[in-house]
Amino acid sequence: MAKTIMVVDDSASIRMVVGIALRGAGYDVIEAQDGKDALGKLNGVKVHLIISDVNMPVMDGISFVKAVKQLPNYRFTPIIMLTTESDESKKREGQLAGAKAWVVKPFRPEQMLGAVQKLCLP
Amino acid sequence: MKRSLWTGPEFWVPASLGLGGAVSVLLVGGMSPLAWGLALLLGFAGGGLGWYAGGRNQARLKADMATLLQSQQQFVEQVTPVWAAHIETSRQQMEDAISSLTAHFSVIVNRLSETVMAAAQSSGGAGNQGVQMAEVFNASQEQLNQVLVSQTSAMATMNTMMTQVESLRPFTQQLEDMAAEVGKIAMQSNLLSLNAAIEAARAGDLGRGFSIVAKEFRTLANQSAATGQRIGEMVRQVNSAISNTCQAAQESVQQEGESMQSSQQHIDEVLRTFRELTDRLMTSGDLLKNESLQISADIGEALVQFQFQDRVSQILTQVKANIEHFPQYLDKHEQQCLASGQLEPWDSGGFLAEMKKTYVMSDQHASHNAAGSRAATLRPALPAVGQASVKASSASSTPVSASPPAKAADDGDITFF
Repeated sequence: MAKTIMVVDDSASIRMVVGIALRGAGYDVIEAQDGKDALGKLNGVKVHLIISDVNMPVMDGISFVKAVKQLPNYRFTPIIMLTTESDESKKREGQLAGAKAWVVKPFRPEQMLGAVQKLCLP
Repeated sequence: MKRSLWTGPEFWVPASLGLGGAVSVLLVGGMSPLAWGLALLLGFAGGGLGWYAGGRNQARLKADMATLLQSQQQFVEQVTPVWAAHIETSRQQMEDAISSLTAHFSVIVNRLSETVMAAAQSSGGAGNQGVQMAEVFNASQEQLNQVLVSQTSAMATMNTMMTQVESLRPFTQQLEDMAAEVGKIAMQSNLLSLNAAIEAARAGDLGRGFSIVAKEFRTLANQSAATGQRIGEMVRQVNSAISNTCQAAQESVQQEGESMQSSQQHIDEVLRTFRELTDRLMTSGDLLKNESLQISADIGEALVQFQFQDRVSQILTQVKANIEHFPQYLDKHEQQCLASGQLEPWDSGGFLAEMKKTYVMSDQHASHNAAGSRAATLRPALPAVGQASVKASSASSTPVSASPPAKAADDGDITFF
């Protein structure tokens, strides 16, 4: 059974690019356009990994990660931050919130898949 | 622009004229009380007039300043939303276009992937395509050769059968001889019965019984002769049938041989054509596979480049936010000017510092610093600011490094926690 990955980004093109890479590798993908939208879509759905942007309208990525870590069913779901930000203090903020990896855009599909496979253990 | 009531020409010209008139009156009229009174009157009149003119001028300047600041504020409030709208429109159009392009590429990637997968499945795996083709060719060749072997075996069996049928010929000859022998025996038996009948007749009544036996014997001899003839006829018919069979079989074997030779040629031709076809298929399969891989790589690269849209979008969003913030900055500046009663310099340093706080990418910092350095380099060449005494932009005091604009990373940067 294919594993499910949620992609949260306000940019439709980024969601598509990530989706192409993941679906090509056999993953199922759920897309959300911001943190609030993602929390609504998480509702009971089995998700093996989350990839989230940082700067988003309505609810930013860091707040979203903190909110996910409060949910009992998703407390241990690994989260990758996918962002244009490379500032170390921001990375530290993401780490403290509970993210497992920080990927700076633009990324190569194979690099993203490598990170996903590393964190998305059976 | 701090201007005192006492410092402008509006005060000093009438005041100087009044003072000059008072001095002139004292010089001309001597130190008489009348001259002093007139001089004092002229002095006070000049001073009062100067005071009045200076105050009026200052009020006019204040009104002009307020009008200027207000028009400046109105100008910015009207222009900046238009700039921001244009930026937002451009950003939105670019995002829509890139999203549409990405969607099209997504479809292409999916179709390409499905095609390659289908081709791989039909050939048992892209890597084994050549091996599969060779196996199919060898199996076909083996099966076709097996047909020839079966045909050859059938011909050998037919040859054996023909030989065996041919071997029956001596037996039919023997049977024919035996039939002739039967005929001879019958003829001799007939002669013998005839002699017996003669002897029976000579014996008279005593030979009457023997005469009957001789008659029966002759009948039997005649029947034997007829049987021998029939046997001979049958044997000849059998012999003729065997000959016809052998001839037909021989013709059949000859035809089979010719047919087999033709089949061999056709099979060789089919195998040769098949070999060419499989070779071409293998070549085109490899070509298709390599082309597919190349196209996938190119599309992957295009998808990487599409991600720059997100970076550009963030930069434009930040620029738009700063433009939208500009009227607030001007409003604050206007309030400062009105409160102090003078034109205050614009604090570009503070504005730039606020801008920096909103940056999220190293590109933005690099561009900011590079632009700051360029501005600092160009500043001495700018025409000097007049007596308005606007303070030099504090941006010049902002420490900026002259780093070149950041080269956009074309490779992902991944940090695991």
